[in-house]
Amino acid sequence: MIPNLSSRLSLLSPEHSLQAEYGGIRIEAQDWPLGSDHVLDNPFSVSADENDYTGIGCFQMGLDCTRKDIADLLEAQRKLRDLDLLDRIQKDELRQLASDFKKLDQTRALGQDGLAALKELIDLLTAATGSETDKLRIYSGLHSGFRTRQETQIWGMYDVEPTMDTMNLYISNKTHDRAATILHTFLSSRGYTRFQCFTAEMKWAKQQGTLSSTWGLCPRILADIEQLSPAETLLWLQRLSRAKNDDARDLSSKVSAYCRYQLMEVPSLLQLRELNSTGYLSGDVSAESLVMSRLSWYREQGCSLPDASLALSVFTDIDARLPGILMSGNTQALAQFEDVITKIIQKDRIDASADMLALAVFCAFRRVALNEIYLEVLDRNPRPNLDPVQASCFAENYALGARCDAYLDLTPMACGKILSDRFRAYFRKYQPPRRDEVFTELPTAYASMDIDLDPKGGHEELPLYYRFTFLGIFAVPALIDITLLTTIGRGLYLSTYMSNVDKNMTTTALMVSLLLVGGFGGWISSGGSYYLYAMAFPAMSMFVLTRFIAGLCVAVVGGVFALIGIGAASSFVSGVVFFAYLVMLTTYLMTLSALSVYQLPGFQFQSVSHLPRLSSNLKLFANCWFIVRDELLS
Amino acid sequence: MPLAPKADRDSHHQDKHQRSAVPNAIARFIEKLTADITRLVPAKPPKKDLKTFGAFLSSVSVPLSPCQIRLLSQWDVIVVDPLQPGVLDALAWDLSTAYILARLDVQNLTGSHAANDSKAVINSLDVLSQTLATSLKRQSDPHSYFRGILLTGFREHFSPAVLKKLQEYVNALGLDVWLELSPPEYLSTSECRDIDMTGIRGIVYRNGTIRPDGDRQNYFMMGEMRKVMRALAGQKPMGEATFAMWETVNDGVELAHDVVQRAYKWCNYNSAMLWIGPQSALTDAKVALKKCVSAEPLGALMWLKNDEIIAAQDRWRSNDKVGLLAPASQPGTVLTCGRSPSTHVALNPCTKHSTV
Repeated sequence: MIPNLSSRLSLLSPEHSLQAEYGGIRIEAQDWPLGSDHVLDNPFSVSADENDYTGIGCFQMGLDCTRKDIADLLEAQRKLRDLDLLDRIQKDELRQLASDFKKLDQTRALGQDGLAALKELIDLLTAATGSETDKLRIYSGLHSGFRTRQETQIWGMYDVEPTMDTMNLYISNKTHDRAATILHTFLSSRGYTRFQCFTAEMKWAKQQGTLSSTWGLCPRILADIEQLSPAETLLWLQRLSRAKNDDARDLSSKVSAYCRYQLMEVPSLLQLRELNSTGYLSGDVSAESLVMSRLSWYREQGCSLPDASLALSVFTDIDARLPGILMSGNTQALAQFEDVITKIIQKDRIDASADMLALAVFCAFRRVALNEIYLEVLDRNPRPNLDPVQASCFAENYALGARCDAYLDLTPMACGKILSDRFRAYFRKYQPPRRDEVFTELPTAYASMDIDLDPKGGHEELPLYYRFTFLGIFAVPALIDITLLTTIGRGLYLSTYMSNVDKNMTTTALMVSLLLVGGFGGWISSGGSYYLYAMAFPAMSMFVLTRFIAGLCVAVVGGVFALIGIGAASSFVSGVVFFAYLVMLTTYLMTLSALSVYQLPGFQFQSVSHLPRLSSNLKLFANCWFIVRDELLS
Repeated sequence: MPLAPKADRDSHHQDKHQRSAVPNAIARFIEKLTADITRLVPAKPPKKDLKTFGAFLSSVSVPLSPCQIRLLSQWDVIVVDPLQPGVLDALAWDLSTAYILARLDVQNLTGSHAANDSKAVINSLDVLSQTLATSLKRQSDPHSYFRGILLTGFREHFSPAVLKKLQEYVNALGLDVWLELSPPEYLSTSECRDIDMTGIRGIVYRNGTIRPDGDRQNYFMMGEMRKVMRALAGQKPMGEATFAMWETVNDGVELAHDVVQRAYKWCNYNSAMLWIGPQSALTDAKVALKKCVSAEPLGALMWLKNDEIIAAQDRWRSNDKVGLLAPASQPGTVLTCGRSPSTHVALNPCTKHSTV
């Protein structure tokens, strides 16, 4: 598959390789300016301001902490304890701790520093039952409550209650090693210096086997230093270098070595990683400069390294062949890749050729994977807004999941930036068409086929009788009325044999009823049609009925009053005529207006607002006909 | 219930009369054709799921060369040109398990670009029916080995109403009707509306997802095709129509892995068959075997998502030291894999041998 791989990556010792200078700064040694005195103090036990750390508790190495800070935090923890919100360590765990400490005691490792205190701790732990009467109570609190105002991380504090002679230990729930923190805090409470507490912790770590092999420090100290910012690390390193205390020399040298590693090696490692991932994938860094940077890193480490041009040829070769392998579906080759990579990348056993091969393989796969992600994101979001955040959201949603870092060694933001830059370049070449404003569908190449849309929907064919009866609801009664009037002289509404007074009354009744219906009908249809569109049918019916009945009531009551009035003014009969016509006409017309609410779009039922015009025309026509009739009759 | 836009509904209402109007002369002609019909294909074979699709449009040698046999046997649906020499003979050699489509280009057959009036349409129909009668089987064969026809170049000749009648005639012959649609405008809006898809067995889209220059068709370029697909989807259930994407790229174009993978993904989503190949693969079997994309390509992201690879990557990128800690006498690991015999290259023990 890849010819002559082993010979191409054969290692040469550094002397044989090119001694090209790649511009780097070599730091030989630090030379701190001579500052203040106090150089004889133990930097672990005493702060830079000459405050003794004894008895404060267990807190982060490298940062300062005062008694006042501790007092504040203790206050908060005491309150929480009173509210019963702290997690108390139970009997089983206390017994386990006791047995572990017993083992430490048996090794006699602590020596002068704390043997007595350890025995006391063991006794207290053995006697503890988790009840209220214990002499020692250990509480585990939320990590966020253990941070001072100066951002120092406290791991453990203690509090003595003089009345009951009990001691409360408060430790953070995110400590790396709970037993070590308890030991440190207890020793601190018994008056041992911080340096002695650290020594005890180191001995404990040694006994447990958790001491780091490269640095010789317990993991808690390593984690503490990692959490420091570069400025803080630098200050701490300065302090350590200046201190001339003999006791602390051993620990101090180890800690200084680790601080130096954190300051120098780790950032350059991060920068190299960034070059591999972001730099290469965005196209800013060419394959050649990537390989060269890696080789110069090997050179700094002083190990054997392969030849530059051959390494570059391996890199470009793998990069060129990978798409072909994937397209032809060569699963065997992929399995081989997997096999080789998992075998040669073992922790602490990677040499330069393995590293170079891994670089070539991972960079090739990452580049192809990013192309796939790019197409997928553009398919799902064809109109990106060129903001990198949007691109990274879509990439995570559809391709990467939450593990962008694990697959591509990129943060999601960096990935989004690379993708959005590519979009920009692509859209410069293929300009997208103008966005259609009425287009409400979310654009995506994986769109549904919209089979729910009915192309023929909404266009109902109304049968003929339907269309006829719409108009007929007004026209037919009027037609019948006129026909009857002309033929037999008795219409539906009036007849020619009525007296003038009666005719006046009926006409007035019509007018008043039209007014009433106009008001109430408008009221009904104003609200009713909204309920229909919202498909809230019970509410709609209720609405319409209440108003209908209201209209009827008004008509009836008004009619009664009018009856009395007219009966008093002129004759009772006219009053009755007026009342009857009023009520009948109002009922009929309001029914029509209520019915007009129940219509769907596309239908042609006219609402009652058209009614006055239509009936006034009819009335006019009827009046004309009466006049004509009268003339004819007379 | 969502409604189509009002403009569409109105024009649908308007053109409803137009749609169903086949000029009388044409209708009579088609009736005449249908009257004296002899079935070309005797019985309807059982329905088989059609998964793969391919095209080979040149003449074949008789007997078929091994390349050609291998090529033609790997697809469920094969599109061939029945007028090319040797094709009918090749079919008789039992390619009968395949679903074979005869590609008939109406413009080529009639020799004219468009049919403007009824006479021209009748002429086109005549030519087509003659071709169907004579070119789909040899004289000696009892029946035709084709299962359907792929009609192309029909848009200028036949209006949707005429097409419907034509499709009924072809169905009466025992053949299915497939349509071939090409960019840039696959079907116009009015044709989408009027065409009756219920009788069409399948549709082939040319260059639906990949452009001839090898780049992908982006979302906007695929808009026309999407419109046609929606029109079809509105008329019949998705399960009954078959789609195929016929992606021809120019000769000499290198297909990019991501473009091909995206084409496969899109076609899988839309249940469409896919054929990707260069122009010369349509005529040369050797080129077709070598250059056509036969299966979905593997994904690089999938490989990276492997658990062991993630662990290895974590180890590699968090590694801060290069160079073995172990003493120099440690033997290197020997990994032999691959077809070639292992060659142990004696090198500095610090290296890892790998013969791949």
